[in-house]
Amino acid sequence: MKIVYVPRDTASVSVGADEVADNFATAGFKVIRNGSRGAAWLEPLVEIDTPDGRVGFSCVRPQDVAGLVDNDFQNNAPHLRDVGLIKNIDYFKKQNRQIFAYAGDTDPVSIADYIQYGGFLGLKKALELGAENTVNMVFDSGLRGRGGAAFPTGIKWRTCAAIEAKQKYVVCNADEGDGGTFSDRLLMESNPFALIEGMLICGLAIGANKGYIYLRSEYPLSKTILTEAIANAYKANYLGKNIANSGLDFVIEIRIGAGAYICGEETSLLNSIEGKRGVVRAKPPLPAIEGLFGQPTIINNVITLASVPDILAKGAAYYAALGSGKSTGTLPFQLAGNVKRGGLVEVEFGLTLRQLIEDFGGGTYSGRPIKAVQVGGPLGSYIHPDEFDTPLDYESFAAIDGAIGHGGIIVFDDTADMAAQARFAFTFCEVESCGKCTPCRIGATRGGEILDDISAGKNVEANFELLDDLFETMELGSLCAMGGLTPKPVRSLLKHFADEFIDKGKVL
Amino acid sequence: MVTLNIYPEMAMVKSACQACANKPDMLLEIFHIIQANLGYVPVKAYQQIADALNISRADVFGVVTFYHDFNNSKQAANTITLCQSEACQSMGSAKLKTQLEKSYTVKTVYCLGNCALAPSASIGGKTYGRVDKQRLEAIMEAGL
Ligand SMILES: Cc1cc2nc3c(=O)[nH]c(=O)nc-3n(C[C@H](O)[C@H](O)[C@H](O)COP(=O)(O)O)c2cc1C
Ligand code: SF4
Ligand code: FES
Repeated sequence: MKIVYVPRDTASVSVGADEVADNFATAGFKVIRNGSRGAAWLEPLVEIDTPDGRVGFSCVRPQDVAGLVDNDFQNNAPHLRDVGLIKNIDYFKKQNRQIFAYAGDTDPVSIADYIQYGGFLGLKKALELGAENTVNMVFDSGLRGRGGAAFPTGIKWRTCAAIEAKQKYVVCNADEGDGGTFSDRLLMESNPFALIEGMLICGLAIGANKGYIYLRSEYPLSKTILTEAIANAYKANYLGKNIANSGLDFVIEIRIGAGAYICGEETSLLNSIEGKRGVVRAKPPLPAIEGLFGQPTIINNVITLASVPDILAKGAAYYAALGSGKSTGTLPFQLAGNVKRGGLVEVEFGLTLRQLIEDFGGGTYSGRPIKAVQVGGPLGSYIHPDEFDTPLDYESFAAIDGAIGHGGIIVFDDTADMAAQARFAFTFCEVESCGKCTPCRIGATRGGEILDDISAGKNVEANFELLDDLFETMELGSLCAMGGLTPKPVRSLLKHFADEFIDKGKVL
Repeated sequence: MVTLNIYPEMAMVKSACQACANKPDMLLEIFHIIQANLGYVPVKAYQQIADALNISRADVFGVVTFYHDFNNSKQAANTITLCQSEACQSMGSAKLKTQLEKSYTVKTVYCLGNCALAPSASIGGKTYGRVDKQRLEAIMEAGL
């Protein structure tokens, strides 16, 4: 039977991949639901095997299937969506894929596929090295947390490993709340075993035998795929007792969030796993010392954990040589919003923002000029085209008052209303604040009101002064980055687009 | 404490708690199960859950009201959940919301992880990308 590959991730399915797969099945094909390669602009990207490698057909609609089948997928068929050999597609060729290297080649829930492409070699290495040297390896790689704060992973693990405790936990932060980001989702839907292997290695390194994945409820398909992958890992003895005859025990449980952005903050997340309100905890104690159920806990982002197997398999030096300066390795950036070729772009740190949005993104979807780009999620700055030559690494972005965060890049064209974006920053904080501290809980509401007054032309000068004051109160007085960084996008918008804040029709 | 008020969903709520071994840390999961079955978490269930998990009704109330996912009455059948995060905003999700509100109940969600195919919507637990008014109307018509 002829094989055809139709991706099963959320993005592909959101534009009809399930119906396309059904139609191929009806036409007598064996349909393999592979992972998505992350080029959302090509989805659904249907592939077939050829002697030279996989050949793809992009943006296939259910009604296109009959035509493809009738023409026997011939390259000379009058079919406009033929993208040729996958390995020759520029968008992929120009990336430096490490954790997403085989996404799309494999069936995401097949252990055999994962092993065929080098899966579990990191675990094998970690078992050889033992706990302490595994931590050292992660430390030496320079890996920094991909959830937003970019804290060195090795230091966190070392802190937790040093503590004696009856029970420790590994918690994976899969809450991915930032608008414009989807790399965690894609990893879980295209290469979930990398996350499972990363959690195993972390468990071995710190001495934990239980892991939780805290997954946001907005990702039901991730839950399905992850659940299948975990079940297959148990069956193949890569989870459970005496894993691969190593003496190592490890179990993983998925917990589903309930639509609260703040539960991505690590201590709020811990409360949520414990069945409580997702209120932020004061630090210290650090979770690495006193975390879930009061026990030492490592909390890492999906991408952080999924980066670990490769580091072990290929060595710390290999990983540390990638990237630029103190930003080692690669980051799967996410091109989103009003962009022509949106999707996941995994490259080494150091590429400029312009290269990413022009070379990869191809400009705006609408075809209009770019007005600004928001980098790093709702708590990240809006970047003006004048700053597009900034290299994408943690330090260079900090230098322009920006942040890389989780690597989300949202493109806005010249029709965007920047005052409305600033207003949204406060609205979002108002809705999503956990309510524990006043600068954030009250500040978000007041900030929105001040912007409303300014745009209505009321006491503009005094209100700008008040806003400055409020920024300072929120930045200095908030318990966590939700309140502390909400001023960041607003400040960046004021810096570049101040004249848009006052309704031109109103008199000052 | 003994719960005296009897209501139709009691058995369902009881089995949800039992499926989670009456463990307090499974409270969110219990709400998810109840909501998947009934479409909402009835206010009358709070005391029953509290009793089963050996926590206070205030705890149950506090948690259920903290999270945006849970509602205490049935959603309208013609509900469209529309993403209003930044990537979708850049593709006109605010305007789309206004258009849809004329004929549907529109709920807001902040990001469905489908930001490269914005604007995105969720209907009946399924995510749709590159949506506009026509496409959503067609989906709603097919589904209702
Ligand atoms: C308001 C807020 C939201 C956050 N949301 C997320 C999130 O969705 N995913 C994530 O991995 N980290 C998130 N973080 C960062 C976490 O608190 C924490 O730093 C991270 O999970 C640590 O893992 P890492 O070192 O691997 O990045 C958030 C932080 C704050 C303050
Ligand atoms: S800053 Fe906001 S979200 Fe963070 S602890 Fe304070 S109230 Fe909660
Ligand atoms: S911003 Fe709308 S789906 Fe992510």
